Amino acid sequence: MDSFEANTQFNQLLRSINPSVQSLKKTAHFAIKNWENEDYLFPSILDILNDIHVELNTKSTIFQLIDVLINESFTISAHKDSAYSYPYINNLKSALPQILLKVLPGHNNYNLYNVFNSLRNISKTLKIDTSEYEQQWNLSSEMLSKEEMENIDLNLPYPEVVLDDASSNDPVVQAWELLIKKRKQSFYDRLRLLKHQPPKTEDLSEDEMFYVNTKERAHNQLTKKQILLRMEDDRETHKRSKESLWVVERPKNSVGVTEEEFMGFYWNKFDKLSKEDEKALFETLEGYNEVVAGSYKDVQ
Amino acid sequence: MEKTSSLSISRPYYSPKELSYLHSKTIADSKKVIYNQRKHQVYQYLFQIIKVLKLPLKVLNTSMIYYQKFYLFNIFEEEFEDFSNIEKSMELDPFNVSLASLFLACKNEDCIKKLRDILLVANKIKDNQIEENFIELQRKIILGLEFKLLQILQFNFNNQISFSTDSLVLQFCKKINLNYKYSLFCWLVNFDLMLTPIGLTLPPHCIALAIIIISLNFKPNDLKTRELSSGVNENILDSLNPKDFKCPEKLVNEGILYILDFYIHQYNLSILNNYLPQINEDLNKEQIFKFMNLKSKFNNLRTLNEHSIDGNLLKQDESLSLFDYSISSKGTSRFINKRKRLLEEID
Repeated sequence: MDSFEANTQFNQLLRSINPSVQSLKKTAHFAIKNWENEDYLFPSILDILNDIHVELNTKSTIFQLIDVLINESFTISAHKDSAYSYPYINNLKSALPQILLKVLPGHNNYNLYNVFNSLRNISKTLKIDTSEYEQQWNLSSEMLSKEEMENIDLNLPYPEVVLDDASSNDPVVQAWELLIKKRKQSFYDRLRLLKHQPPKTEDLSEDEMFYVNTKERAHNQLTKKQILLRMEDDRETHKRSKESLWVVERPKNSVGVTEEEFMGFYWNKFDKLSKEDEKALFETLEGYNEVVAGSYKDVQ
Repeated sequence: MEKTSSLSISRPYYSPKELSYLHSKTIADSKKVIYNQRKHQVYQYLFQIIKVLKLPLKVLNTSMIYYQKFYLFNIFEEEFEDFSNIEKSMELDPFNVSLASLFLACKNEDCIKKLRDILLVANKIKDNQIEENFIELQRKIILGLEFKLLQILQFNFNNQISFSTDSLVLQFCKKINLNYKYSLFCWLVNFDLMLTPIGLTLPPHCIALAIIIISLNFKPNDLKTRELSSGVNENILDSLNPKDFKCPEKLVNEGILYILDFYIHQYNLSILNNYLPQINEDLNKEQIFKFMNLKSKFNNLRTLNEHSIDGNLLKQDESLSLFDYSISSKGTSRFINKRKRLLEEID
């Protein structure tokens, strides 16, 4: 396939992407198969993120695609007889901070949690320890400084989060730093809104609720339809994130069950239960015994 | 008068006598052999699908329970001769029943796969031509079978609760500090049992404990493993009390005898056979004799109580008759999962 054709096809895949495993994997595999055209295909990913007419929902999905693409490229290349040498990883990695800001533009932070999950996966694939940032993420409700709290009282907007060009940190770390700032921004905005915008108590029509047909609707704000679509998408995303919890990799060409599976997915996976967990388990079992007893006609 | 409504109570477990009564109604004597053959094939088939889809073994376990449960209330027949009614013969095809079981088991075990994806893999394994029309029809049939299955299960998803036998086996092993070799033995036994109807009679925790007691008595020190193991503390067995595991003792005993019987009759087909040497070290005889010895040792155990179950009473029990799916399409079928509620309703 020549570069033009590959790029056209790739763009079609990107425009019709949805967060199901199939769609994401199909697109990622297409990109990897056409790794020779990385110089054309990689900018296409950036183009779609830069396009202001593309919905933020789609951009969130594109970020998930980046997560899947890095993971697939890594797994496929790491294979012993692989013909691939880690395509896209370098390009995507260095563009991460800039990509992140495209998915979380201005004060629109509703992709925050999806970005967090994907960034965590990416860091795991690239074997970068980000536990420190994950902790900060969970604590950021306490992270606002005294000064910032005063600014909320004064109804001042939170400063725009921008890229620090001077930073010499690893791009993944930079991305995490930006994400933590975004998390703070989002929290700040929420507090400010609660404080300065009185809640509406009167009945609202649906149109008013979603600012339909008013100039009030700021750029990038979601319509009702988009919100419903997003709920559907997030369900898919959630399903996908669960999948990584249960997938069992078995040796190829194995017949029957293998000791490897026992080792990897049972013996090493299960630890002796803590006292509390054991208590909880046996309480559940005790409760279940009632169901069991009810199932037989005779007393057991 | 035709019945227009039904009320049934969810029963996750049936006593052995009830099972054979139900089977006598659904599987004709002439079909018993083929039923068992088919079950083995279905099991291999599902195992292959599970490998391609990378699903955990607990899904296979649940699928096999559902599959076997289906044939407690539906007649096992394969109408392959009658090509005139494709839909009907597809519905009777045990392989399609097994796919419906797998589909539902995926949902119940929270490993969700689209039916389409399952079918693509399943048809590839069987070398079926994958035509869009065929898959569409197959989808329709399997969704219909799934609905039947749901009614048989009384829509009760509590059956497997939040744990499966394989994880319970491991948790119990770790609780009593059982070594690697013995634990692997337990895990293999659990895998062998997926082929049997033991899951229709006993709850997971009692099966898990029965497996562990068997491993402690069997002392599988000659099991072929790559990992080295530490020795096993001989006192574990004496200090093992079913009450500590919240297992009703009779149910555990029932499990022990069931498992021993299974290996006495089917050892050669079992996966354990691949892992144990042909000759048992202690006895200097074939492994099967070890199971027979244990059987005679345990023969006096008090097992599941079935006093009130006799042939005449079984015949009067409507809940043990073939499932009448037409009631729900003409009138209403209701399902209850607590016996107490049922008794209140009847009063």
